Amino acid sequence: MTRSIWLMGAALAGFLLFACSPDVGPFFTPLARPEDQAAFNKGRLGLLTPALTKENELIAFRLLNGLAVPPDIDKPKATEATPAEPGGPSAWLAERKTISTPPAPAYISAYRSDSTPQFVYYLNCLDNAFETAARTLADRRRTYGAPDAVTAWAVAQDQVFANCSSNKPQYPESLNSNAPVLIRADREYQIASAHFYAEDLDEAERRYRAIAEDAQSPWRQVAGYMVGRTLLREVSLKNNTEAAAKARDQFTSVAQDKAAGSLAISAGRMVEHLDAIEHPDNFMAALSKQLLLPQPQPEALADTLRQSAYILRATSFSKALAQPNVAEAFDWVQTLETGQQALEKWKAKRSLPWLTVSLIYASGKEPEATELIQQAERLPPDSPAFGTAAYNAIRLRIERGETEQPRRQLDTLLANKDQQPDSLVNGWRAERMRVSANFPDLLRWASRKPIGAEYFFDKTAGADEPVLAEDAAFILNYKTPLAKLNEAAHSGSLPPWSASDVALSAWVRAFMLNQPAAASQAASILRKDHADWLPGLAVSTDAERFRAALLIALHHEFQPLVPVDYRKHFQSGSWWCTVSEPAVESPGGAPNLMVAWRLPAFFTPSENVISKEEASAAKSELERLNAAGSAPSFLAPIIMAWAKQHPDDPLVPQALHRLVFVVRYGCRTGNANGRISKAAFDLLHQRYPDSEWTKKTPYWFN
Amino acid sequence: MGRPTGTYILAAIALTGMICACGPARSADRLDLPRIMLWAWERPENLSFLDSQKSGVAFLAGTAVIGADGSTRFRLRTQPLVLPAGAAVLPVVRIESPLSHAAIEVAPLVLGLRQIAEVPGVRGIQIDFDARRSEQPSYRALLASMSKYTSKPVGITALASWCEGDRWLNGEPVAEAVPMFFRMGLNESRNMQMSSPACRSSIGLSTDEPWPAQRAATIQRIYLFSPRAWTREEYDRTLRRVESWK
Repeated sequence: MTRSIWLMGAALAGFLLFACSPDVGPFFTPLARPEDQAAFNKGRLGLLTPALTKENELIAFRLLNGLAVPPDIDKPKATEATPAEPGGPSAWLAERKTISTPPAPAYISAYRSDSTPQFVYYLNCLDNAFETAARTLADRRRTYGAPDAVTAWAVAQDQVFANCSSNKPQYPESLNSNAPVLIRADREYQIASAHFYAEDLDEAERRYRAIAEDAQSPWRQVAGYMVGRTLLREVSLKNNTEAAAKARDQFTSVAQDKAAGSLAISAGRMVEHLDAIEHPDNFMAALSKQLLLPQPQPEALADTLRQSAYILRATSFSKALAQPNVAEAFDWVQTLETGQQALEKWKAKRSLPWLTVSLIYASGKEPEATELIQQAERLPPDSPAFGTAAYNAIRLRIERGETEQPRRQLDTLLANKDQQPDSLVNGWRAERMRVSANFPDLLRWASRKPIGAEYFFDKTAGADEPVLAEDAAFILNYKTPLAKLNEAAHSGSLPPWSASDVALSAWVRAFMLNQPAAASQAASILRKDHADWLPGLAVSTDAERFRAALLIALHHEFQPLVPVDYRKHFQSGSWWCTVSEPAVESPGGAPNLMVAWRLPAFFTPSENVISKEEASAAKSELERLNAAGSAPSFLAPIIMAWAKQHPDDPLVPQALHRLVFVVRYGCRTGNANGRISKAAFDLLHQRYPDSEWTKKTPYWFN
Repeated sequence: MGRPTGTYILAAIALTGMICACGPARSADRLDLPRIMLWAWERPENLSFLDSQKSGVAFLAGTAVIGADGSTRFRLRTQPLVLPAGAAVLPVVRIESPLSHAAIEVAPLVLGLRQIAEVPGVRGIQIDFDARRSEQPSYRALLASMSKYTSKPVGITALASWCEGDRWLNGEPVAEAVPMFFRMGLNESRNMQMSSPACRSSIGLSTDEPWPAQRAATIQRIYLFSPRAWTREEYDRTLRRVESWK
């Protein structure tokens, strides 16, 4: 399948990496686009991971080879990660709309579907075709003179472009010999192009050749070039391999024609393209060499980056890329993305790019880890590999069970982090938390800064401010006893909104575990921001527990688990399901969640952080929380008992209504949901038929 | 002057027809798909090993890129996709937009989506658009137009918050909304509850992440994402995982 590569044109500049799914974050690790592209291009690479775009991976390869990237490199095209501005068809449609009758098409698809294999498309009409049409229409409005002739030209062009995607060919009618020369020449070119886009290539070639021979046609130069393109499509669409040599001859001829102007440049590129197809190894070697030119022109380097990135993505080059002797730049990018044989390649080459990629994929258990760590720690802070090497060398030390040395190194790194990207600092903080000396030390490094938050929040202020990451939430939720949870909330080490989340969790747990004093401790934080909650925050007496249950039923923010979320909570949440500790590893033995590059989010803290007694208490509490069940299961006995014993309490109808509501919108996996909801519903309707809360409760739910 | 083309007719429909109801809305019809659907994303995929009785394929057919001026540009799939005979297929179109842009021109977007939805042999179309709050009115208009101008059911992927908190999808003409339980942090994927009715019948999961602790009884269809190209081993392993997910 070589179709896409044959139809390179716009594709060379195109392909963006797709977001694989609508993740909402928060993310703490490097994304496809560096946080600061200009700093990245200057050599501050931060933490290299395979998440980068291929263009940025190639830039990293150049920088790791000790070469600079020109400051005025064509950044938007070379490192594009945001959607491109519309062009091509839009340019034509904008010009076409100057003619109101008949109206312009609302939309033109430039892609044609492929019948084999199914559901695959190719870019049939390239951008410059639409742009040329737009320019021509503007020109003919001046040169034709007659408005009807201009309209007829535009309508014929609509027919030409209809063939971009339609399987039902449309051809403009030929004009008779009485028509003015220019109008007739234009029409002949439109007819030839209609055949070209309709894949009627023999007829297209015949007509383009005729136009190329017509000395009176303004399209004669373009037609000569289009003969080459038609032959190229013979190869890609019809597997007519003999046409390749003819195409090369045709493009060479145009490229050598001094009168051909910019077409000669385009034809020259098509010859290069044919070289790439026929000799991919040579082509990749040449690109790899160009990537490492000491002082390239910015435009030339940008073009090399685009072409190289295209080759790395194009399926038609996959065989060539898989060869063992593939050119180094391509080998390095592929190794960065897969890790395969990274160590072996470093041993063979002993260069900084290969040291870096080896460190990225090394494990602390490997015998080479010691040498890798030594090499990494020799790098100066201004090395482009410094951040990646420092992070991974420390990761290897942690994997080998070291704590003191990594702690000292990280304290030094984090004290001098000002110029480093947030994603690297997040990685260092995650490592530093892993080797905490004690619980307050763990809290100090628990928060991280979300990366790319602005994408989800329409630039909401504060969205990228530090929050708890998955590793800290795991420790607080499943390894920390209630007393220490309160300690964390009051520590002053957490961001204020994270401290509130921890206090909420501590208060709910204290309520569920029947520890009024602990609830009171947590409440001292909660009431600062929510004075209206104060009447419901005590949990000693039955009356207080009823009010506390109603408070939870009114606010789903009350959760026994600390969430991982942005400061402005992206997920609004719902009432909790039964608390249970997540599996640390998948069935295959791989960590279930990473908090930074190859650093698992779930871990057991040292005894200096959580003592044996505290771990035992946390485990016991977790079992009791689990036994208390989901929010409806926990709240229902409290509310129903109070309602039956105190029918005159004016809050009872509202509490019964909310209990039905909690079942509806809360955890729906509980077996008792229907029973809880119906019991509350029945009591509400039987005892308080005229209550406003009864009227608001027409159904019960299961 | 040439005769009006099919494109003109489509344009006329798009530009003037939106004021009239021209027939029953179809996009909210049920999607006739297997209970397990594999997402085949933007990479070569050979799914010839698929058991087409048990599973179908939701393949990325293209991306609609919104420009700053609200216009749309499509990039369609160019990677190979090999399917077993008889497989149920659903094209997916992802919509991407810049941080700020003018109001989305809905008519061209509808026409582009319609081109993909009306390809013979596909069971409908799934739209994948992480619409920000400011984009939700445009998304609503798009879904309303799709319900009028396509004969195929229209499904969407949904941020979990749309299904639990915002619930803005309630009442929209979609055949199904697939809440995406991917990389959502430590606890959300275990405890999230899909309270919006549109989101209850399906779920989107990734093969490399923990799944919700319990499978809601309302889930009839599971969409599965793999971070790498699907293989027979990954497919078999995932089917076993689905079987054991209760």
